[in-house]
Amino acid sequence: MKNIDFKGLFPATVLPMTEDAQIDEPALRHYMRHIAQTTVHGVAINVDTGEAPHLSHGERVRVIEIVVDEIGDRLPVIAGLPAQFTEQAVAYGRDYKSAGASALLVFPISAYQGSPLDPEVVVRYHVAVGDGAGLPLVLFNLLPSLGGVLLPAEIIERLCGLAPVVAIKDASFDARVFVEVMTAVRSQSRRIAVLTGNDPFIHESFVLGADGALLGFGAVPTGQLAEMVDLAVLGRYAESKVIMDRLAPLERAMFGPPVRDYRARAKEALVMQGIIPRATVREPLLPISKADRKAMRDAMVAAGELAQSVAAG
Amino acid sequence: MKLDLGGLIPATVLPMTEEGLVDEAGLRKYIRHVAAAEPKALAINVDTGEGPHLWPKERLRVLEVVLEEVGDRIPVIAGLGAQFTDQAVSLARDLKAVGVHGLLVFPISAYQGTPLDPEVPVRYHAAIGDASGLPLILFQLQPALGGVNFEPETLSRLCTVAEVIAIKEASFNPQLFVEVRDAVKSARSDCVLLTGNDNFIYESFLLGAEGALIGFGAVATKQQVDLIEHALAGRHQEAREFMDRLTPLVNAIFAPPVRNYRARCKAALVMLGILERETVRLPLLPISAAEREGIRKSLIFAGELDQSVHVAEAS
Repeated sequence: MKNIDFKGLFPATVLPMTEDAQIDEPALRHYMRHIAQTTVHGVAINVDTGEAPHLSHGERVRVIEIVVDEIGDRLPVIAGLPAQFTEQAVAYGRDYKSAGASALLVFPISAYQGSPLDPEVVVRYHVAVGDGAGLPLVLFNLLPSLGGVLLPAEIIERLCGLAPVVAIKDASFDARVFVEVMTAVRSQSRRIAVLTGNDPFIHESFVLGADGALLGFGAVPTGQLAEMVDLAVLGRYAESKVIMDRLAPLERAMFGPPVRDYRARAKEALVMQGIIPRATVREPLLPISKADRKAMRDAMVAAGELAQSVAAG
Repeated sequence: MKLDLGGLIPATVLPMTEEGLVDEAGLRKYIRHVAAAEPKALAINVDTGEGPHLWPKERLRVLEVVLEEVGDRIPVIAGLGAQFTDQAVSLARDLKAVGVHGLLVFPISAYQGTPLDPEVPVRYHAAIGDASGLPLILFQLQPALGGVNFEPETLSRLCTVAEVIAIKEASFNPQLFVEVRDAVKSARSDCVLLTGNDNFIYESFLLGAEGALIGFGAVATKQQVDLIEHALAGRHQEAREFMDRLTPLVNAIFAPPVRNYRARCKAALVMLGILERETVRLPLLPISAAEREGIRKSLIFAGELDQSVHVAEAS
C-alpha cells in the first residue's frame, strides 16, 4: 500500500444520478476524470456529499469500484464508513477494501451519543474496524448538530495511538476546538495528519497548522480549491488568501441554511459547468428552488467558475 | 386491527447469547413475562431492543419470534430505522409481510440542520404509509439522542398523512411536550399522544398523555401498566404512589451515560430471574459492579426484588 500524501486537498465528491435517482455510472466516470485533472491528493467518496447515507451498502461498494477503476491508479480513494454497530462496520470495511478503497473515513455512530462518552466505546470500535478491515483509518470529529460527537482530547490521543490511524478530519466548525484537536494530535509521538473539514475557515485552518483538507466544498471549484490548499501548505498565505476570498461567496451559497441542500446545490453548479448532466438528488433530499439556483449561479460567476455570458443565457 | 394505544407500550430489550446473538429461547420467555402484565402493545426493535445494532434479517427474525409468542393477543409495533426513503419503503414492506401491527418511524439524518423543510419528513412518512398501509407512530426525539424537535407546522402537516395514528414525544422537555400536544391535537384530535419521556412519566399524564411508549417499560412492566391505568382514570393518588416507588429505579436505569440503559435493564431482568444474562452487543459495553448495585437497591425499593434474596446472596 502506497502512503497517502495528506498535504493537499481531498474533495468529498458528489454522486451523479440518473433521472430516477440511480447511480449514473458514465457521468460518475466523467466527473472523476474531471476531478483527477486538478492537483488534488485523493478523493473522499461515499461521504455525506456523495449521499452515502442514502445509498445501500451494495451501491456504496459499486461506487468505490467505479471510482477506483477510473482514477485509482493515480489517486488514493478514501471511502466513508457509515455503520451502526461494530460487526457491521467490520463487514462493510472488508467489502470496501475488496472494492479497492485506499483508506476509510470512520463516521461517528449513534452509540457515541449521550455523555459521558466512555473512551472504550470509541476506541474498541476503531480497533475492531482497523483489525477487521485492514485499511488505514481517518478519524472523524463531527459537530453534534450534524449527527456527530466532538471527541475529548483524551479519546483523540488514545485513537492516535492505534496503528491503523493515519489522519483525522476535524469538522467541529469551531476554531477553538480545531486548535485543541491539533494540540492533542501533535502531542503524540506518531505523526497523524490533521485534515480540516471546516468549510467556514478553510484558509485559516492552514494558518492554524492543518496538513490538508477533506471538504465537500471541493466537489465544485476543485481546481481552484486544490491550488489554494497547495499554496497554503507551502505557507504562501498571501496567494492562497486571494483564491479563498474569491471562493468564499460560493462557499456561503453552497452551505447556506438549510445545509442539507448543499448536495443539490453542488450538483446544480456542476450542471451549469457542463460537468454532470443533471442535478438529481435521491429522496429524502429534495430539489432546490429557482432562487437558490440563481444564487449559486451568481456565486459561480463571482468565483470565476462560470463565464458571465453563460450565466446570462 | 384497530390499535388501542391508551396505556403502556413497553419497548422491550433483546435477550442475547454469550456471543451477542439473538437468544430466541430467552426472548420467548421474556416476552411471555412482559405479555402477562397486559400492556397495550409491544415496541420491538427500537433503541431499547438494540434495533440499531441488529442486521435487517435479525430484526425480522426477532419480530417473527415475538409475533409467534404473543401476536394473537398483543399488537406488535416495530421500530423502523432507515436512512433514506427507498430503504424505508422496502423495510416497511418486509415488516408488513412479517405481520406487525404498526410502525414507529425513527427520525433520519436528513432532518438535521435548520430550517427543516416540512416536505422532507412529510414525504418520508407518506412514502412509508403508502407502501405498507400500516398504522404509523410519529417519533419526536431530542437532538442529543439523534433526533429532531419538529416545528408545530411540520407536526400538523405530518398529522395529515393518512396512516399516522399517534406520536411518541421524547423531547424530555415538558414545555415542548405541551406544545406538541397542542399542535397535534389541533390538527388531528384522534392522534394519540404517547409520552416517551422517561424523566416525567407520571407527569406526562397530567399534561395530556394518553399512553406511554417507553424503554423503562422493559422492567417492572406490571407496575407501570397499573400506574398508567390509575393515571388515565384520574386516580392520581394511586398513580403517584406507583411513580414514587419506581422513581429510584428509573433514575438508576437512565443515569448518565444513558447508552448503558440497555445493559442496566438486562441486569435488572437477570436479578429478577427473567433473563439469563446481561450481554449487550458491541459497540455497547457491559456495566460496572457499582451500576449493578444501584439497580439492585432500586429494584428492592420498587418492591420488584425481595430484600432476602439480596441478603442471601451477599452472605
